[in-house]
Amino acid sequence: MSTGNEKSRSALGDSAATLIAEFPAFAAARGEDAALGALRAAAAARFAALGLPGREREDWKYADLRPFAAAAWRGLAPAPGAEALAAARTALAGLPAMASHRFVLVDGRYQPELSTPGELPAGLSVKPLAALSPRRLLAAGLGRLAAAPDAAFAALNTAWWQDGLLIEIAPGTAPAQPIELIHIASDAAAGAMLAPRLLVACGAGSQGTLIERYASAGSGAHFTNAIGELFLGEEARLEHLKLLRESGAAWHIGTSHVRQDARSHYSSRELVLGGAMVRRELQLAFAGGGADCSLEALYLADGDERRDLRTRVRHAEPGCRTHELYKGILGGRARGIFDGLIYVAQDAQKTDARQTNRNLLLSPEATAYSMPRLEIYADDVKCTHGSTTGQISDEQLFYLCTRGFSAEAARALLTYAFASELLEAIAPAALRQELTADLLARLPQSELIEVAP
Amino acid sequence: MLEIRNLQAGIAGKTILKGIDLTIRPGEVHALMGPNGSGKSTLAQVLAGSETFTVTAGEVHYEGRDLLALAPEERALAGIFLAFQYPVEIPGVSNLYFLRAALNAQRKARGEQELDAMDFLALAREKMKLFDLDPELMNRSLNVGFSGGEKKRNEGFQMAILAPKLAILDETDSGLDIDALKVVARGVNALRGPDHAALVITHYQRLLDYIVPDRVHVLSEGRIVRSGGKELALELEAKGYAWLEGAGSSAA
Repeated sequence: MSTGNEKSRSALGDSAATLIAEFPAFAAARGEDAALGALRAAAAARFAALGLPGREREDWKYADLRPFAAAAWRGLAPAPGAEALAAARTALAGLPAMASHRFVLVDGRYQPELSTPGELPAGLSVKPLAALSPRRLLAAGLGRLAAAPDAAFAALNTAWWQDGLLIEIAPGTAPAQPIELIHIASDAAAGAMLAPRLLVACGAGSQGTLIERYASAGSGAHFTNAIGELFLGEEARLEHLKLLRESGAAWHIGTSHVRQDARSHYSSRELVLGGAMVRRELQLAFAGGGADCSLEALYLADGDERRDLRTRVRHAEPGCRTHELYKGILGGRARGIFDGLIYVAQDAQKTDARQTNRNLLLSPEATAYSMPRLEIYADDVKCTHGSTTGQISDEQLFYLCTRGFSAEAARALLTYAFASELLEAIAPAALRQELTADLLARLPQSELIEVAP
Repeated sequence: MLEIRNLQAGIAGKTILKGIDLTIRPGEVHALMGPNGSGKSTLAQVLAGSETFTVTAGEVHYEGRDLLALAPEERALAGIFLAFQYPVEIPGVSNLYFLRAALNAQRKARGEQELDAMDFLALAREKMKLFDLDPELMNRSLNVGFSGGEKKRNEGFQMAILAPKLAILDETDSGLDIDALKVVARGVNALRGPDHAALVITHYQRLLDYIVPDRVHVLSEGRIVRSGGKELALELEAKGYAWLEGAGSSAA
């Protein structure tokens, strides 16, 4: 048994070794105060002890990190030069114009000259993390939620994060425009890690919308290791959209940690449209009663792409609700993993939790692993979970064909229909249109159908 | 218009249609009746091009073309429409979007100009009224959350929009109350004309009070055992299907 572990550890170790070896120089150059330095050093030591997770770990069983390890990542991406910034500018120009407070990070660093925050309304504060004092960061909750002792990549981010945003919405305020956080990786980041960090604090009774994008300005193989920590005060409401469309060679491993106080509402919509391997995890805990969350995701994969979607929702307080719908569309030899756990503690009476995963397989060689799970210790709860994986229904196909749709157009329409449910609820019209167009561009033969945006 | 000769078809080695002969001329409405399991729906599905059933013998000509060689969509584009006994639900595809796409595919195939959204909506509104369908319902996903009756009326609505040359109605009356039945019948009658024909499949005579057929055929155990005028339906209504068993298998 131990020999097996050592073997897989050493096979996965080269990338980790580079990152571990480079850490002291990185930490010294940051010159941060003792408290933050200690947080980083402890995380680095934790990562060094853990190494890259092997398949013997239950939470990494179906993920294959061997290609990741073989890529020998060379530490943090360098600060973007003129070329990288120009490429980022071009990538930004391709995004739809929308009224928002836009903040742009290129290769992991905040770029004021590319950002268009506009005038922030009273109650909204957005600051690049690199500009804040360690004391302020720790007071805002840095490292408070992303602290699991066995989370190797979270430890890696905590040790290495370089920049990111602290977003604070004051109690009782509701900025009218969404806050846009755009991460662009240039080709200068190829072979390197980006470790952005996000801190969000929604005051009691506040309301806001956060749109987080991850995109590539080129086709490089970069590694985004993203961690977000989000705190929702009592009765706060946050709509959180995450749009992942990095290059076909990119790796993305990221976790959003969310803590919800009483009667707050958190909505997460994740759209994974690009990347060689994307693993997104959502760790959510209810810290007060009567709160609810709505967690939805749509993930597309083709060729040899991998998608790994995980949710961990902890109901420890009474009367909270979870609605969870994750949908995958897998073609080629793609592999999609859904692993969801809703935990209901003994005191979490009147919990209402629904968890659903649906997968549409477009090719006989595509694989879906689906593991929706409930762990319930309370007795007065309403909890359901379900999972379906299948191909396009022959009955639906025949019905459309009898009305004059070609088999190809019918397939394209049914595939789009499967996916569109998660787009319909996206409120900014420009964004919905962009995502619809993006989705269609990723679906086979979508030129055969015409879809109203 | 439609000529069926010795059509035999089945599923998984089991023969259901055991030699059907049937001719429908332009402008005619034929009723096909028969007990459950006699093969009525199988015939409808085979004519629409379902791959669930295998044709083992016989031929079908539609406007002089070999119908069995055509894919389901080619049959639709050639003017054949099947109103399903069990209409399929398709979440995520709106009724009106679907129907406009279907109509435009058919118009394009006929070399006609496609209808834009405005013109289509005007046409759809008019026909929705005819079928007593809530416009709000028509903006929702195809048949999702529809009652049984709404689904059947939606089939009639689609038929009215697509105006097929040959409409096949597979037990469209089953599960309909008398008012809904009249609505559907009105839709079929509105389509009647020298260029349109219909094959109305039903278990009960009552639909034929409202859609008066030119010919009535009785299907039993995969064969047409009687054919006649509209009075045959009344005879069946009076005597039931049991008397057929003594009627032998000679087609009229």
